Amino acid sequence: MFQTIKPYWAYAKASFTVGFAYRLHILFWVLSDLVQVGVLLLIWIAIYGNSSSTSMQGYTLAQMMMYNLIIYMTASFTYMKPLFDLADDHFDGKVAMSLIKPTKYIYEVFFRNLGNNFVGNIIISLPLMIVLSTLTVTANHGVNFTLGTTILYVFSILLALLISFFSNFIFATMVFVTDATFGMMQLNEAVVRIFSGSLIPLSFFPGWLKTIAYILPYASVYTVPTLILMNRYTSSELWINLGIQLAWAIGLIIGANLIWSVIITKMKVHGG
Amino acid sequence: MIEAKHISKSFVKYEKEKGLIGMIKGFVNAKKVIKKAVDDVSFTIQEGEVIGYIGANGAGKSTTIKMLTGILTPTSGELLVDGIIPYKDRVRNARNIGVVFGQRTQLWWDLPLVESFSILKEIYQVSDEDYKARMEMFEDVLQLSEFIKSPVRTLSLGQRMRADIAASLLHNPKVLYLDEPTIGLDVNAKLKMRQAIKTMNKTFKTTVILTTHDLDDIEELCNRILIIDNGKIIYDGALSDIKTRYGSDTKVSFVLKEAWTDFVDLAHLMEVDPKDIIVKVDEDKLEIGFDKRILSVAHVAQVIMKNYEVTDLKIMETDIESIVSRIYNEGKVNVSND
Repeated sequence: MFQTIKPYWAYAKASFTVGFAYRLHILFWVLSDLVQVGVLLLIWIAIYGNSSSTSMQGYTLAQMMMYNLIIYMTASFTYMKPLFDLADDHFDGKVAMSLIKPTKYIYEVFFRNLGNNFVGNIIISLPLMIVLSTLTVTANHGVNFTLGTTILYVFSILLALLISFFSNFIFATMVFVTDATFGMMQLNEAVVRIFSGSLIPLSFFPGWLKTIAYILPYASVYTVPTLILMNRYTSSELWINLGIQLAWAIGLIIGANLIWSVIITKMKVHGG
Repeated sequence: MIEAKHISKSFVKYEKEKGLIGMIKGFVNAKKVIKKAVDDVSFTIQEGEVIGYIGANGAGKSTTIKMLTGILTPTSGELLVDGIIPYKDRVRNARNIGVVFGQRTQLWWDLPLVESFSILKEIYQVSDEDYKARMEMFEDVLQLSEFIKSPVRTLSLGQRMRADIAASLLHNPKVLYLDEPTIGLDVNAKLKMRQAIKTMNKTFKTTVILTTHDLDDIEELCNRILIIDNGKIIYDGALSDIKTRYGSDTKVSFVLKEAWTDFVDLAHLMEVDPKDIIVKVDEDKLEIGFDKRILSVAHVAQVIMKNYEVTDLKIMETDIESIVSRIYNEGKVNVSND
């Protein structure tokens, strides 16, 4: 097992090194996301300010602000965007250079993304984790990180990382079929944003929309780890959600491999 | 080492009509066109051979290479590289092969060159001793140390190609595919590339398949050539065979002291059939084309010099380039192969 994974770590190391060399690029990306989070927080302040009750769907304003920050942190912990890789590899014909290597393309891309993910963790997710932990300890925001929830959060994040990558990979393979990168990216972003719970908590959705959200894998990437860390699940809900995450992870890994094995036989390689 | 039996590869292309309306029509209902890039190609290559794979642009060379490397799956036919079906067992096949695509790089663009090598070392699981030994060998042939610490994006094309060929040889592959490895290189860089290929072939019996438009590459390196045209192999055999078949055409051109005025029957003077020689005259320049097997250069020169005052003469043997362009134009070659 270790021997088979070893060559792939080289890809992670390479993209980590490159990513870190271009860390300003990532930093600006993060800043633009932070601005969006800031806007969301202001909107919630306005909404709660105009409401007669202090709690909505079980969230006080302080809890809602924590929710937004934690889900943002969760998003950056699970940041995997194979669509960029696949689009790039496809249009330049660079995929040929991957296919001459004694490694599987799908896992090469996984580890490439993992390398970038680590860069993001070092400059955003981990600092944010420290800030939020300090916040929960020093002031009462109605959210407390305990050792138990933190461990479960880490475990849930690992599963979320797999779901995030393989669901996005399946989406990204459509680039090889449709040749339409930009549209696919926008569509992917929009679907994820709405159905992951990163825009508003899924409990705010009407029943039918909630059903769609739970049929899609994105809730398992964003909402589940976030609610685990916020300790909002009963213990039975917790295990069910972790189970669903595990099922998604396994199902998507198998699905992505199947889809890729079909695409690779039909692929055209651009150029030269 | 390599066995290809009747392999074909066709691509589906969607043809769109011209203009805005055609574009809109094509969006809904594009015409499907099937293009055969490689059409019923068969060949066998032994271990240690250096094969020149030549053909015009778009003839199907790269598509063949991509099938051999396992990147593309043939539409039909059988393919075996060192006992492995490349497209079915791509990862295992990839351990045995090294590939250089002249127009691409497998190096990490933003990292220092040496980093790329150490990443490849891990991907191919090359041991420390082998890595050291090979880097020393590359240093001898390719002189990488001058730029090994520079990021790949800052390298010149010649340096990058040298680095790329080293990268493809790092794991000592059994088969080396070179798709236009000398494209855009200056003379010096070309010589280094050829030297590296020769060294690997001699030391490790590496089988080499080389596609190129540079016929000096072929002449320097290959003992056998395959010529592909329109997806079909039109010649498979020794370079020397094709040279004797087509290369006996020789031209001798003379510069005469005075403009040529008398129309002497040169064929008669040389004692050959008039259709065996082609005479071209342009004032004081006289050019005689003939087949070396019928007439000797010495005889032609002797006859002319006896009758005219010659100030200069030049002998032009057919180069491989004009042979190949003749074959492209004629299509199928009728050289008997055994």
